[in-house]
Amino acid sequence: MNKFIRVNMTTREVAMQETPEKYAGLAGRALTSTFVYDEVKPTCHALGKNNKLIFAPGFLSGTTAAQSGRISVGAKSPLTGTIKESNSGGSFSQKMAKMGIKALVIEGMPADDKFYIVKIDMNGVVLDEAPAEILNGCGNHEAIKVLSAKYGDSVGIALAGPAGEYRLPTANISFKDPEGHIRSAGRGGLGAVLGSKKVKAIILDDTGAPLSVPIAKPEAFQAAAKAFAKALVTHPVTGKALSAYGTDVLINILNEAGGLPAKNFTAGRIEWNDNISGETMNATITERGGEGKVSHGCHTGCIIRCSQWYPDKNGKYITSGFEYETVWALGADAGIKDLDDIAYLDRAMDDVGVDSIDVSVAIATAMAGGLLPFGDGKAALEAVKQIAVPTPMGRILGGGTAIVGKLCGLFRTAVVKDQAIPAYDPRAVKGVGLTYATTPMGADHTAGYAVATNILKVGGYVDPLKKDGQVELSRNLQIATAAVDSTGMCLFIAFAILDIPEGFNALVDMINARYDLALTADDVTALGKSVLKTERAFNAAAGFTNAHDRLPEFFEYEPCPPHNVVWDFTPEEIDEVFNF
Amino acid sequence: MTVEVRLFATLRRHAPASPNGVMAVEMPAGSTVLELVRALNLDPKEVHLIMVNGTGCGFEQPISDGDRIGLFPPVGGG
Repeated sequence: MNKFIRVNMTTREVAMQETPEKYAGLAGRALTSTFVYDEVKPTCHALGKNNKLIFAPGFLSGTTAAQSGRISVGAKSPLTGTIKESNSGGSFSQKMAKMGIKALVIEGMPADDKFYIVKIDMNGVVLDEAPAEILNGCGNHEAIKVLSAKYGDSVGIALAGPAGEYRLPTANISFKDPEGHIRSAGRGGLGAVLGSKKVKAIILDDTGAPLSVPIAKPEAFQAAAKAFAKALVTHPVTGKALSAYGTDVLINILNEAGGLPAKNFTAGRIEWNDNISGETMNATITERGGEGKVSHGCHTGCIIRCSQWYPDKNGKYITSGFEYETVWALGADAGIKDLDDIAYLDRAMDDVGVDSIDVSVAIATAMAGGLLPFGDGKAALEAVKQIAVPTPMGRILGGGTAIVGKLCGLFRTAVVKDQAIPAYDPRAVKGVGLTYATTPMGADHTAGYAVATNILKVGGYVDPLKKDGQVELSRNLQIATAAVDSTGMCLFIAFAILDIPEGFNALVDMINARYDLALTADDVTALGKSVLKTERAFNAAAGFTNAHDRLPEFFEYEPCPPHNVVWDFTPEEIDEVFNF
Repeated sequence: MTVEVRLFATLRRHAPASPNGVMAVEMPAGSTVLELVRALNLDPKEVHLIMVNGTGCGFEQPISDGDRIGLFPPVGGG
């Protein structure tokens, strides 16, 4: 895996180089963040010619290792102004790795208004003009059909939806999954960066590529991969629970714990939890049958299978990757009590290509600000569809939570660094609050998922309502996550490797066998620390200080029922998270 | 005393008659969560998360009249 491809959209020239020495030992988030730090001017405008977008598979992508199919995408974020790494499932990462591509960089910006398709196969890279029928508001579901018909059913696709074409701050990058549905690098507006460079889509045709990446020590790799898969299958969360109920099982858990943000973050518990719970999602899919599937993997090699196909009343597919955070934002925070309404909204957000967390929290914020009627799923759906036009309302929602809060004159706007706070109230789940405040990404639960230890009792237990132990918990999880995000692994492996030491050791052994290395657990920790320090250095150079590592002030003085707790970390305590 | 028990995920199969796994259960005063779990014929090994009035705790936790008790098998998401 040594091709380093640069596509310059200013000159429309392609350079296919050997991977530079300094990036040879990096992959995934470690590579995207180091590259952005090295080559992107921190004070540049994220939508201007000096920003660069980089795609990189992880250390283990393209191997037979379970869960190794995540693709990392990096750039300066137009939503937050910080460095950004957003990762996704789909088939892109495995194909890229098998084609021997270490990284793909899109840089520059054409002077004209035409959109292009970047097509990569084993012969090289070609820039085609984008078909007119997939531009100017064509939904992603249709665009994937058109591109698959043109370039072949089995190609990998990365796509900027209408929101990306319009360069909206919440635009995501959509990836075709193995069945032609959509997965997303959702957070931080990277679709707008792709759109700003006039790239509508990237096509990967791996015809003629080897079936696997080269493995330095195949026998050792196989043994480690087997031990790794065993840990995933053995752990009750990765082996059973996630495939049965999906991530939406968290609705009832957070509701019971009093940490389910409701009605625009004015409460931590709702009464209509069973309208939108994972148990109800499972029962509805099972009862409706048809194209519905209770569990589904988002990439080849996924054995956790947390995704699902949610069908309508007639059994016809509506959406997949129907995640807790989206269901929470629309169901609890925006009070939409009908799971079908939420499913159609999820599909519509995938179709226009926006982050379903930021836009869903924006809907709840718009309801609090009087722009939309509270709890009205039909009105919210009409508003989201307007993003494809885009009408002024469509642009406002596609602007994300921070913009909607400002336009509505609200102080109660749940963002950090202008990125929406997701589904765990930081007053009642304090560890994840520290992650929201301090991660270089803007509010992001996945950056250091303290919920696992605060609420789920995975990797030990730290009381979610107390401050004790939270700084170390958030710090250690952020370090571990930065490392896992560099492997190409799905973050959900953490549930198993936090509890089963053999699983963690097998992960390290797989990397060693793949590349003939002798890494230890300490090296993995060092990698995670180095990634975080690089990202934070970029942010500092872009103008961010410790004063930006704070939650919205209302969390400090509005108690969250039922526990009636407030956010009570001092600035000095928060700053300790990154003291390493 | 009467406590409100809420069963979630796979534990709901033990309460097929209760809508959404919610039921009122009579227990002797001074009971613990473990005694409640046994009274419900649940296998303690199946119960991974216990919340009494929204606060995580263990099997030894004493329960009181009117408590809201949530019981979960191992689950996760994110």
